[in-house]
Amino acid sequence: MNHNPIVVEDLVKYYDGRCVLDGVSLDVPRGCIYGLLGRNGSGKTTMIRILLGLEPPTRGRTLVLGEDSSRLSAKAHGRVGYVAEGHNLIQGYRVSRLIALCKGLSLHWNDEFFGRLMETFRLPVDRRVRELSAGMRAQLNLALAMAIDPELLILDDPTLGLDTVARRQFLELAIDVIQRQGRTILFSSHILGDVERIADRVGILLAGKIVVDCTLEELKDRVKKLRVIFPQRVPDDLFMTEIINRQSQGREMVLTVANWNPQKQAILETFKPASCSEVPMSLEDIFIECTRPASAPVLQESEV
Amino acid sequence: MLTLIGRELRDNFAHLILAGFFSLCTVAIAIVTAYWGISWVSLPISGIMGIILVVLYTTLGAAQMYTDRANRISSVLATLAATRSRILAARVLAGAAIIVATLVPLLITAVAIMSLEDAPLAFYRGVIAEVFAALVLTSFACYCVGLLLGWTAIKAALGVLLLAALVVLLVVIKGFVLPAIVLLLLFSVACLAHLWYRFTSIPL
Amino acid sequence: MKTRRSSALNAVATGFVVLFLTLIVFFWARWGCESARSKLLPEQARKLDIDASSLIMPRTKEEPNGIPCLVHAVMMPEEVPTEGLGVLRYLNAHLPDAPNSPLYAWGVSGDYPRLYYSRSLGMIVYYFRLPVLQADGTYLTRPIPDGTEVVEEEGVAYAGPKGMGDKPDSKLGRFTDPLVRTAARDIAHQIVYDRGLRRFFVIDWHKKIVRQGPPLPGDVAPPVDFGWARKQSKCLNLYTETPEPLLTYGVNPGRTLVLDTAGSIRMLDLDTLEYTGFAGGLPAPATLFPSDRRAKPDDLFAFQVLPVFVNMGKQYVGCAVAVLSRDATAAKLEVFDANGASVAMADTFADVSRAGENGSPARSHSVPTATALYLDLPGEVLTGVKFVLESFHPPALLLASYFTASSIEATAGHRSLFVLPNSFVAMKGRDVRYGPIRRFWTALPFLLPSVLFGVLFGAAVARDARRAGLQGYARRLWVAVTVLVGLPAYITYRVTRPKTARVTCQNCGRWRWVNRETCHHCGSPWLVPELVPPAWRVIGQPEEQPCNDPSPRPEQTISRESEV
Repeated sequence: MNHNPIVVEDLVKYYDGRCVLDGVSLDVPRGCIYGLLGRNGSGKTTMIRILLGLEPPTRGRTLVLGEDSSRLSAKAHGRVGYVAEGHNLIQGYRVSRLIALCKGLSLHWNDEFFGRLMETFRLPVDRRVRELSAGMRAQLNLALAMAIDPELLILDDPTLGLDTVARRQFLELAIDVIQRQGRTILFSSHILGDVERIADRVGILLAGKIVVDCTLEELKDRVKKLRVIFPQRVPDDLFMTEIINRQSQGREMVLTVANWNPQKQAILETFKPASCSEVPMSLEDIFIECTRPASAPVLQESEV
Repeated sequence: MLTLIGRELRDNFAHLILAGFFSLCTVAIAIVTAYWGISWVSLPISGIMGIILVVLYTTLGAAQMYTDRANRISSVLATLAATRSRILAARVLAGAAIIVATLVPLLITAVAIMSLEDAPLAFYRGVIAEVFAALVLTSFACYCVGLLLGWTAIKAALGVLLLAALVVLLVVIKGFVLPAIVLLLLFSVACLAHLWYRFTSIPL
Repeated sequence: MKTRRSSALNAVATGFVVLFLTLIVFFWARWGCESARSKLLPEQARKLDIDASSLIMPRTKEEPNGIPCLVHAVMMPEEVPTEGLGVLRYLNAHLPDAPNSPLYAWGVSGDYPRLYYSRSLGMIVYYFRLPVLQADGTYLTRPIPDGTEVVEEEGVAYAGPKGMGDKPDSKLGRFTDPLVRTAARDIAHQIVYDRGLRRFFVIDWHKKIVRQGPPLPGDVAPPVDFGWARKQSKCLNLYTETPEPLLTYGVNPGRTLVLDTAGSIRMLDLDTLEYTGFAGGLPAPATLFPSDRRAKPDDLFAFQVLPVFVNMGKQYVGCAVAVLSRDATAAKLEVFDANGASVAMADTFADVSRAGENGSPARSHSVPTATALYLDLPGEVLTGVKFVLESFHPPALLLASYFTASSIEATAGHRSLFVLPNSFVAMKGRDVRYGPIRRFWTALPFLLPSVLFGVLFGAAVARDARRAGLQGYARRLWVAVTVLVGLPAYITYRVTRPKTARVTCQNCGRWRWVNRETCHHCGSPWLVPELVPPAWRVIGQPEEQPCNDPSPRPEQTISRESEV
């Protein structure tokens, strides 16, 4: 039996006739910070909503804390903290009433921690939620999600709308949560710098499938970007498996390869390149390489 | 569960106040007409008030579901320590509580007036029970119609009221007899079953 | 996401809601037709007149000054649709002096009397203020300045089958289900028939006695009403027109007429509390499809039995019986003599204009009112509408209406939602001209349209269910239910039908359902051509991570290029 807090098995989701997720499978281990990445419309929010039982899957199944997402018990819900994309809160309520509601519906409410958060964020409790700024709503949403001492925290673009300072505060909060043993975070974000800072494991959704699901170190180790210069011109018959991207101009070829290994290196060496150097990539660089369509132009790398 | 019920009652406080107001108006009319010895006047007025109350209960159900959908309340609640079934149960219980709370004064007033007017209360105990049960179940059935259609068809407000009128017309057809009470109960249960199925399947 | 069981539950629940609402709509449409039809009959066609002079003293050559006696019956069919509604019936039935109300009289605020049946005690209770009866049979009086006045006493008495007392004593016995009528408008005398004990009783509150009669013979049907037996008197009026001044109605002190559940009218002797003879019976009105010559009380929407006494009530000369059919389209009046022999009878007729044969001009014909209302304009239009409405009724329920035609009481038929006792099919079910097989055969033309609609709807469901990819057993079940239930089942199917998206199968090119693992036409697995994922994957093994290093990673900088 799989004890991981999040298990996704062959998840398929159609919206009317349009396929969004096409057989996604992944496991988020306990205690892991999992960064779920993907371009707009790739299905990240859809997958998260399916995990929380807000959306039914078309096929496949998902398990959260050992329970089927479509039949999550109240107890399971109470162990999961969720920050929705757009910070969906009950707009007409006053902050104080919303807090009381969340407190009343929680299994465990950390008053002290919540109080500290409210002080840190300096949120007014007598105002209505719709009267708060986007950033304040994000902070409130985060505070409410954290106050229940969740075993699993699911964050869908949680820093959307936060300024730099608030974003840093959030990251520190996330780390604080992780410090408590056994806590797991699944979060999606477009700010890859933040993901790179805290995520242990990343997953990238592309064309309805998970194309990357490994640790950050492994990803950087297995995805290589090489600048290869040939003596004459780039050979036409240079074929290699798992090429993510390939750009040629004259004698120079920039090659991004997945699962770089000695066999691939040997293949490259048979074409006797004049030089071959690795271009270091950040997570953002890797993400762009992985998700950019083949026809998109290559960005100039800057040399350090 | 109590938190959810309290939330529903607070959110629909306006309906509670309105229903209570009309209920108390009916009580006042009944008392005044009984005092002046013209109780027969209160019957048609009570009938009109009854219709208003039934319309209120229908709109209560529709409003509960519509505001939920418009403000995405259930999508917030469903991510807290609450299941969709509990959210729906709390909603229905709150609605039922409002209905019973606003109809019970009518029952008490009817019994009190009959006692004061030296009516054969022992005989009419059964009649009072049947009429009250039919009234409560009719109101609840109309409320269920409102719940059913409020999620999807709030723009067809007239359609909701027409369907509620059909439910009321059952009592006109059958009277306040046991078959009508059983039919209303079955209808309410069926509405709630369908509503539960839909509410627990739809994306929030 | 949903289990099969919850889907089935949803279908059943939705089906009930749809059926409920649909049948109410159909009911009110039928009610509208009935109301419209009830107003079509001209005034003269509603009246029945019989010369019953022979009951009293007919005019003869020898007795040219015989006493005339006309019996009139008038049907008021426009009252029927409203009177048939349950809410009015319920309210009327619970008024103190309603026919079957256990509350016979109720004076308020100390205004006597109060007379009622107490179910808990099983006794009839009487709060009275009555003159004091002395042993010699006279009333106690006391002198007053102007003369004397009768002394009255107030009290309460309890009457059971075994006697009367001033306290509820178990020795008095218990009435189990009494039918009570006041004798000769004297509230101090009641005639009681107890359905449980199957006997008649007479209660005399003056003399404080309860007399009990013998048990009814086993072959005699139990009474429905006695005295001035009537049902739905707002819809049928029966009266006599005679110069004889002392006709009395109701319960004569010595005897009374009793109507039983079989429709027979017998004379009850109030001294012996036994039947003394046959007095008549309920005639069957001339409905669209003839039924028995004699009707039962449950077969009629309204009836009245009017006993006729002369000579200060001493002599019973006969009775007049008027009846109104179930559907209020026909009435009949019959007069019986003192021996129960039928003297005269009359049916309601209406004049209709029908085109003559071979182009001859239209002539006026006299036809039974039922025929006129159903088969002649403008009633024909309403008949057509009624027929169409019945055709959309669930076939199974319409068939049930045929078989339950005679067992549903006439007024209840006007409130019936599920079975239709007043439908053409039910009328054929009561048609006694034929044996059971031929009767059913002649009822088929009225049943077939409903079955046909059921089949059409079933075919539509079958077609759609196949397209929808429903499993074989589910499809067959839906089709079967739709054939049996018709339009409500079809609506239910459309409402509960799974609305899953369909896409084109890449293998066979036909529509396939996205929630199925394989195409239900060709069995091929999934291909999603619009999504073209790359061929490469970077998938690591998921591991249980120990508590991670909480310190944030340093900002990533682009390092120098390194040699591979």
